[in-house]
Amino acid sequence: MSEPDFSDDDVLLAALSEALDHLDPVPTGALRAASTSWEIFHVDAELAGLVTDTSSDGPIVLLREEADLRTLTFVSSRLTVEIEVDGDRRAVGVLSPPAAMAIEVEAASSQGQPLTKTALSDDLGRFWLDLGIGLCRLRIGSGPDAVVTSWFYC
Amino acid sequence: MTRDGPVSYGRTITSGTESLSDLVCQARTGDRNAWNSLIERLKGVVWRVTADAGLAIEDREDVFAVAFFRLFEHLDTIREPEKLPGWLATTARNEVRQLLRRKRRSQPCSEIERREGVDMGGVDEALLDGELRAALQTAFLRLGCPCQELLRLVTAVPALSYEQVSELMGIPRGAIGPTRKRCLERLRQSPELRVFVQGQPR
Repeated sequence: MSEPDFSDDDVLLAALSEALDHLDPVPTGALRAASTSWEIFHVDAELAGLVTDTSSDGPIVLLREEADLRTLTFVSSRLTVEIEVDGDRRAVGVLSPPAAMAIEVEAASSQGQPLTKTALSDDLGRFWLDLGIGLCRLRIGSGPDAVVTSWFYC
Repeated sequence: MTRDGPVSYGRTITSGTESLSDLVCQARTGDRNAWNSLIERLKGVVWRVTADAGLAIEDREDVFAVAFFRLFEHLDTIREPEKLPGWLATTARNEVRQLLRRKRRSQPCSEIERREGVDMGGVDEALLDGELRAALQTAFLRLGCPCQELLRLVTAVPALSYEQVSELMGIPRGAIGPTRKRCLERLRQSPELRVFVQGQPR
């Protein structure tokens, strides 16, 4: 292998690009997680997207944030899901229109599973969850009528 | 330098000849291979953006996945696929900031972990020999944080424009070129690389 001419900026940058790919490669698990978004949208569930906010700079954000309490609202064509999460990651949620449904917490990250795996909403659509650390989302209902929320950080 | 090497996560990847625009169209019509190819094509940009905030590797993985989830959610509304690298970089940066707010800390520019040899799925056939690559890596890690961040971004594939790098780093566009030059010069002056630059290998 002949020695590249590092006095040339472009040659040095190309070599550095390769060296950095090897120094800090994208983990296979992250690629797999990114790839799975496909299944959600194409198999069995409707997406309830996280509604944009009024307070923060990102495109995907929290509606309201006070002290250790934050409110997230997800909206699909049939269902709105609002949850309030406190500093200990305890969440109180409500579905509207109100309905008694099975709710499942799914964790995407390697960081730890949620304490609550499943819950049931009551007739007023209210439910309670203990969330874990990292990235998670809620699946509400099952079968062809299921709704899943966008991923969010617990 | 081709960036569409094989991946190791069990999906067929279409070859690297399609444009981003083609891949977006195919993914919209339900072609899962096209979606995986998009991830493969754009992964480098997203991953590099997550490197500078001092996040743990698990958090970086979450940000990486979320950036692609957002892309998936927006697949039908993309008008200019050639701008995707910049859009994804910005999305990933916003997710990093949001995560840092969640964690109520900010530790910009901490050194990334050396993970060479771990999980090398998807990295290309080597163009450099191992010794030279190691020298480059050590020289890079000697650089100060701003230089590391800048060089990570300007060597991302697909390339980010200077406007995008400027926005991501919060420095004026006009400063990118001169800063890049200065950082490269510093890299060349490192003890590890000096021998190679002066044409006296080994």
